[in-house]
Amino acid sequence: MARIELRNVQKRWAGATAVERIDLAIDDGAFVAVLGPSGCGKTTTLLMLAGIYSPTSGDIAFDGARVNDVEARDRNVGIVFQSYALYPSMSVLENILFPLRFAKVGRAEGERRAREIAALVRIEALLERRPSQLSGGQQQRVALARALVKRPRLLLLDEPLSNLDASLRLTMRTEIRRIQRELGVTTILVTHDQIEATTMADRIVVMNAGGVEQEGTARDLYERPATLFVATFVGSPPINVFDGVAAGDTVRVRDATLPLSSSAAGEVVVGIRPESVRANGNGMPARIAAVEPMGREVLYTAEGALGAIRFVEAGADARLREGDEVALDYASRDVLLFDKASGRRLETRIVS
Amino acid sequence: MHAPTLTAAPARADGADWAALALRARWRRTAEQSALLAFLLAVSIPILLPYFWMVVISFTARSGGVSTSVLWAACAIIVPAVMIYCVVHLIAPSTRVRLVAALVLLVATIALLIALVGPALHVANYRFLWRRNIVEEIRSKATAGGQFPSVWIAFRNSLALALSETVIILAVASLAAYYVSRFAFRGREAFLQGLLVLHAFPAMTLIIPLFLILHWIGLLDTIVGVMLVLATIELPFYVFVLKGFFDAVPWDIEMSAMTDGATRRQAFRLVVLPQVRVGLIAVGVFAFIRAWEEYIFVRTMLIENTHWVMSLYLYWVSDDIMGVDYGIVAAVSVFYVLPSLLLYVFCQKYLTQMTIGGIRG
Amino acid sequence: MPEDGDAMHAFARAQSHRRRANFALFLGPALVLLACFFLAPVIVDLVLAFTDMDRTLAVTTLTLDNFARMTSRDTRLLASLGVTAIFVLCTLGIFNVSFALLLALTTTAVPRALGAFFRAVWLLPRMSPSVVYALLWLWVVDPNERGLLNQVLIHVLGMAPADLRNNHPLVLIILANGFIGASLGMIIFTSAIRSIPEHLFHAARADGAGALAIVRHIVFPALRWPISYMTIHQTLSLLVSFEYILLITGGGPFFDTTVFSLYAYRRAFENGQYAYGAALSLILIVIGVIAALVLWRLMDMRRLLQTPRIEVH
Repeated sequence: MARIELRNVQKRWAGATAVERIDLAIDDGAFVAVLGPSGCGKTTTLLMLAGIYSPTSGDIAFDGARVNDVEARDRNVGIVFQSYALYPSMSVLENILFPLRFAKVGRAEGERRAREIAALVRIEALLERRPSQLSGGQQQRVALARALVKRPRLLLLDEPLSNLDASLRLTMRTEIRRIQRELGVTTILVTHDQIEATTMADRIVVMNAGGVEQEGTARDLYERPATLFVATFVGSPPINVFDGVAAGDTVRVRDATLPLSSSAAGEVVVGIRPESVRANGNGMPARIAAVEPMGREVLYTAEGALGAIRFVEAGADARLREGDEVALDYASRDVLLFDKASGRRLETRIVS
Repeated sequence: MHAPTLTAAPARADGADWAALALRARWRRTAEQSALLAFLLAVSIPILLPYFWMVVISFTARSGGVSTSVLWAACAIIVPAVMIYCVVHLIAPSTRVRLVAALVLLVATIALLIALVGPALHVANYRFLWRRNIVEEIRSKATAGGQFPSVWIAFRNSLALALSETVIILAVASLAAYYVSRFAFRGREAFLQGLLVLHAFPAMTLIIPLFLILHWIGLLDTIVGVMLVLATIELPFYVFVLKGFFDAVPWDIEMSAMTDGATRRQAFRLVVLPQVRVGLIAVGVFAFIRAWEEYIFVRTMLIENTHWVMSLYLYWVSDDIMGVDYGIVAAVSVFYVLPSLLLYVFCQKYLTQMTIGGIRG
Repeated sequence: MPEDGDAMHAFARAQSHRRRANFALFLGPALVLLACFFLAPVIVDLVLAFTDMDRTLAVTTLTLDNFARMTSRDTRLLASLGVTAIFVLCTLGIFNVSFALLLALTTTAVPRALGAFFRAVWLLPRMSPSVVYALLWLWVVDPNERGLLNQVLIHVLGMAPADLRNNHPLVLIILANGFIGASLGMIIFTSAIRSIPEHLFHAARADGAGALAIVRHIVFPALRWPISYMTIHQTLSLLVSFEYILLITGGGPFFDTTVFSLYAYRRAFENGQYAYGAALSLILIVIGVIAALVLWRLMDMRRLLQTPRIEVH
């Protein structure tokens, strides 16, 4: 197992920069999720850790030693690709045995380990099949087995759940979590799905446009997002945002003026999470514009003084209807302010 | 169900010697790439050298045998220059250094070439371009090839042959490809399969009966006859290529043209054809080059030496004065190769578009 | 309304008339050309093989004499078959498939632009006019010490000059045709290698595979079909083509490099024995038809068996 560090890593291709700058340290045995939209550089970072790509500048270190030049095959890294990348001409068992050919493991020992791993990921019955005869979920587990059979020091997962259907996703989430805990292998998961990230990983790194936006636990990201991007990316339904202008002790959003806890100036973005908004009769007047039942809760969109604002109410049935006049209340301390130009969150808050 | 626990991996001392692995990796990479490069260079030289030699001969040889001194002199200058650049390219820290080095080497090479090789250069071998009877001059007698025409007549004939064949192919193949792509007619499947079989069938085996057929319909020893034969032989391939292009044009365009009042044929001509422009250019260029380079059918079907084309011209010139004046033969070769080479280089973008069922031709 | 019925009829007739006209306009020319110059020759050759047509281009009788001659009296034919066998097997085995494979593997293992450059170099022979290519070979194997080959032999290897054209003509034609043949396979195999999904290579590298292991486990399985297709295709091509042999050695010295296809051609056009040439060609035509059908079946079956790729996207 290994402690992984990326120091000022940059990856540039001929035309574009995939990764601007990454500084990251991942402890031995940790389960970290790299969360970000497509194109943000997360897969590139993963492949650099595996040794498939080389950083243009910066260092990648395993246990403190620089490994930039070490080939992928010498790093003992297990990687599960988004497409699973199973070798089509080999059976499942041969796929799993493949890494052991190069680890100088005897045939008998190799088969024993392969079957052990196959049992761990529950594919013992499929060993003689070809990849084309497997379902998506089964292929993924084969890929996982192949990655784990060589007892890697680092496990890399590239969007492991994105190709699975909802129920399978749930199962595999728990499975992967369980396997990681049992084996204690340092694991890095790359995904664009915040649910995946928050439910599986201990720590989350949010990336955007080739750089790290914030790193922390799910709670840190949710309650204290460092930037507007993190605030909008983490949290479902997404945070409500309103443009405003701060002048001294107040901030003006459309026609409303709100007092600030400390002075600020310039263009700002005000963020209010749907979960903190209540239609309880006292507060800002608004009119319901849309009603979307989401099963467990109902998502309302209302037009108010600040603009369009979303909020949720628990329960399967919609209490309000389109056109209803309501009064929306929100807790001031839940309101976040961001500097519009840089996207950074400001420490100042709204006072009630 | 209790999942089986994995036998715990031995606690790694993680004594992986990263520095040694990194070093080994760097050596491995260098060794692999060097070996590959050396191999590729070694097998490419036997091909590049003769072509370069041909160009050199055309500019340096005087009557008499062929010599290689100029060739080796030129190589002695060019090869080290290239090798120096390779080394520079590998160790240079930035693109700017590479560019500067390339420029310097280029200038030095040209200067050296001018100095050492320049005096030997002349264009006398190209005089066939402006003097008609070179062969007779050299041999000072009538030649086995018959009365030699000016090279420009052969050039003109080759051009005529290639252009008209291209036009025929484009017309016939695009019409057929469009029809097969758009219309469902009885026997469509059979026609396509038949084309596939014809495409795989070697037409060269039919050269004897083709000769006779041309003779019987009176087209033997005519450019038209050769043209028709060449066009037909390649037709299956081109129909497939163009069909692929037509298939890629969506239906809606023709549909809207026809609802706008156009007939099917007008829709084809005005709306669909422009869309497959790339395919037409690709097929046209390829067909032109093939016709330009054709030798065996031309030799067999044009028997009286009344119609000279470039391939025949070169053949007879070399046959007649080969042992005597290599220079002219080389010059004629260069002149002959140039058009197709230029076309290949400049139309590469189009030529690579040609594919039949996923197999690029 | 009866007028409507008539109008409908007229319309339908015009439609079918237009349909036939379209058929004739679009497909007609192609069909005519193919019939005249592709299908008709096959029939003509079939008939011709049973005649006695000679220099006079006149047919006087129908006879089986051509086949009798082929099977019993023609000793040159036997020699020619031997030459053909050696030529096809050697060129195919050494160049058209094996070397093509090697070129494809090596040019895809170096950076893209470099690989493209070397592939372009190896395409040069195929893309040059045959006359020029043959001429270059003749200059290279020029028997006195001016020839490039002899220059290398004498100055670099310290051997005596060689006269390939007269002493080792088979080697010469194998080399000359091999350089041409390798290029097509190189292109096909390169395109097949390029179409292997990249992540398979990534996975293999992460799994610990070195270059040779990757070639063995990832590249070769993907090349199985192109290799079989190329083998059949190139065997056929080598059996029937003789252009370069004709240009470089003329089939000689005497008949030493006259492969079967060239033998038919020479008998017909050098000796004026058109009927005999046709009979010999008939054999090639039959082989050609069978091979074409096999190739067609292979291509077809491949399409039918096109299983969806493993990637799940």
